[in-house]
Amino acid sequence: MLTLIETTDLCKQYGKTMRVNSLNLRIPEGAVYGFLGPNGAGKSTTLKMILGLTHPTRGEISIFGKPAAESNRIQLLKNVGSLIEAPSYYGHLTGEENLRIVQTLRNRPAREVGEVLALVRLGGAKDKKVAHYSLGMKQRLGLAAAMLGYPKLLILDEPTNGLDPAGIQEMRELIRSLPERYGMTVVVSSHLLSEIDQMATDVGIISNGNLVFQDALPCLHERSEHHIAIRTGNNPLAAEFLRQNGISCDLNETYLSLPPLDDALVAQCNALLCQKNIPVLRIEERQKSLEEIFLDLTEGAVSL
Amino acid sequence: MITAVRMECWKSRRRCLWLVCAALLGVELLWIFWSFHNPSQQEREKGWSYLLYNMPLLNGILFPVIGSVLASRIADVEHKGNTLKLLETIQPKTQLLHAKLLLGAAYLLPIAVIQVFMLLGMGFFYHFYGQPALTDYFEYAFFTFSSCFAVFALQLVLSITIKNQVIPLCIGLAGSFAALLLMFLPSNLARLLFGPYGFFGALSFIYMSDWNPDTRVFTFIRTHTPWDNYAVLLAWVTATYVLGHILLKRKEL
Amino acid sequence: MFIRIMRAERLKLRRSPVWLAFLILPMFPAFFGSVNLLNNLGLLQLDWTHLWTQHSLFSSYFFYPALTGVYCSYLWRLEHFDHNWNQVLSAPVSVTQVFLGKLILAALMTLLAQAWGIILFAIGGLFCGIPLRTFPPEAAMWLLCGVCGGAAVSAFQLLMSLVIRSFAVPVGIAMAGGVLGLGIAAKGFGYFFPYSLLSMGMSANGSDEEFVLPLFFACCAVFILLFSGLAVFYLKKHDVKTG
Repeated sequence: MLTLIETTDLCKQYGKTMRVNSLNLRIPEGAVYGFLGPNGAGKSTTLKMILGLTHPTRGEISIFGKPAAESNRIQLLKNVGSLIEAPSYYGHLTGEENLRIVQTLRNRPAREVGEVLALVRLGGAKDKKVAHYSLGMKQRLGLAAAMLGYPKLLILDEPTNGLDPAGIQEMRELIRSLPERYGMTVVVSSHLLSEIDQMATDVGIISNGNLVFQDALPCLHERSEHHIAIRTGNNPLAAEFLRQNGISCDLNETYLSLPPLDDALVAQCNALLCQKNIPVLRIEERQKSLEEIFLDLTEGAVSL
Repeated sequence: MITAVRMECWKSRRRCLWLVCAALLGVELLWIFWSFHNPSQQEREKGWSYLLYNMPLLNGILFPVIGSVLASRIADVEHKGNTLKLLETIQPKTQLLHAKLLLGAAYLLPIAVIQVFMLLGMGFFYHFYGQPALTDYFEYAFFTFSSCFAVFALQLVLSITIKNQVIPLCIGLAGSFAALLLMFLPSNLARLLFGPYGFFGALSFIYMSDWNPDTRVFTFIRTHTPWDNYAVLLAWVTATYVLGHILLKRKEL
Repeated sequence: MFIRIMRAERLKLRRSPVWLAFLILPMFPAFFGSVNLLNNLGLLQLDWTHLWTQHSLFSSYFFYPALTGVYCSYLWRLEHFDHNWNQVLSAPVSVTQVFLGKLILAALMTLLAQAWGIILFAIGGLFCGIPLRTFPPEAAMWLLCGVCGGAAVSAFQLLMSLVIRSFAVPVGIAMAGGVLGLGIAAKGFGYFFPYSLLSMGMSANGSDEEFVLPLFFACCAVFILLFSGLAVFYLKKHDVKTG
């Protein structure tokens, strides 16, 4: 599988601060790559460097297997659509007129304007001046402009900003379908973990300019530390008894932590504890939420 | 109110408003330098009055644009940062207008004072004969400040109420021409009809007379101090302020 | 690609009333020039040449530079606001051609404004009672040279408005430039200052020995290339700032 975007030791320094530090991104073709990070982590800076809007202090960027340079900038950008920081628009023009500008610059057929407007469900407001659009409508317009031309690579910076819950769901479904329907590779940056969890296939997490995680989404879930939690009337006694019976467990403050056991083993533990007259108060299946995994990863980077 | 003015000073940090004023003074200084380079006998004899005759014309041409630039710089911070809706929840809109007017006045007053020092300096540099009539120069400073403030007030009201700064700047540009045009109209009344741009001429009290095209000899006359026109200026500034007050109160954010 | 860029630029200027300024404002110097001629018939003659000196004197040194400053500021203002730089510079178009597109628009507006100025000059002359049959053929030269000088000023103003994000400051610079241009031209160094080139071009007289046409065009070309090159260099090397 082709790596669509590859960065090697990518750095960006502003004054004395290294905003992006030795980033090695690998974005596979056909993926929906979720680029996660707290506010100010360096997500937008990284995406701007990929698009050539910001010049890296150090490092290399390769897009579609070719090094990104001034000489092939236009050729590369022909296949890239983007929505960076906030939607771009000319407020005195209507939504359709704004897209006509993008369509003209990208040398695309006029019918694509109507197509992308339909995709983002902005057809009804196409003749309204963008200055009078709500935040969500401007966001949809920005997405439409990015998708005009059905580029091979789509870079979206917080695409669901300002959208209502129905709009968020719509956008999520749309982004998820883009690789299959149009053969696009999508890079979505966000700090909304739940959104990325529902649409991404691969994830990269950046914190304080450093890439702290990069892999397929299931690998991130594997860090969830799935376990069984049992609360009893006498936790220390229960822990000792279970260990005597060959079941490993950790004693925490208010509960016992067991490895993920199958149903039969859980039932057996319950039976054993009841035999010993140790009242079983709670049996729960627990795992770290994506937020907890994320915070562990990003706070870990901070403390380092 | 003092807090509001302090906030306006704070907001104008790194806006280089002083540079706009310095540019005006710099250009005027160069103009005087070029105009009086190798002054003739007549220019040395009548230099002190010549300066007071020329400067209102120069101010009339330059200040409407510079005033619109200054007003735009002061007002545009709110449009760029979309802060009017925030400020409306903190302070009355009209307090914002008062504070910005005061800030502008704080920049205009040094312009008038520095101009006088510039003129006096140039006069001594070029060895004009006699002594300058200091009361004339004081009145010139006072009227210059007043005329500039009248233009600035109108431009500020336009810049603060209209988001697109093209319009106030084009009006400033038209004002430069209006000021020039009005300078050459025969009566003061005509000058006063066209808003604040006519005050540069209407408040001038040095006139050229007895111009002989053959000998190129002229005389300057010092007329009465135009307090009547000044009263019209005050009325105009009051009307501008009331207009600004009404427009701001009605402005929906 | 360039045609696409020009089409896109034209689309961006829809519903932009800035052209009104170019229609209305030239009437001021035209009116003033005609009235001033009639008021000074002792000093000036009632002919087209003297009328043109009255029309062009203030417009070339103050008016056109400032109006050019306003228009160039407006052209870049469209991109400075609403994160449009991200869109412009991530579009598959050449940065050089983007700048050239703006320059051509500015030069075109200069052409239209000056052509309108010539029409107002003709109307002013008829108003003053100067017979139309003696209309000077030099008017074509004034227009051509005025537009070339205007293009040099436009290149400089576009550079200023690109680098200075404020709308108003480049207009102030244009005004100051126009006034300085007067002095510099008077000292004989007009060929080396773009604002002086504008006024020299508008007063160009093919038979005037002091006005060297090839030198004038060469200086205009040098300034256009110099400021355009600086602007493109800035666009290519500078990180995009949208705030």
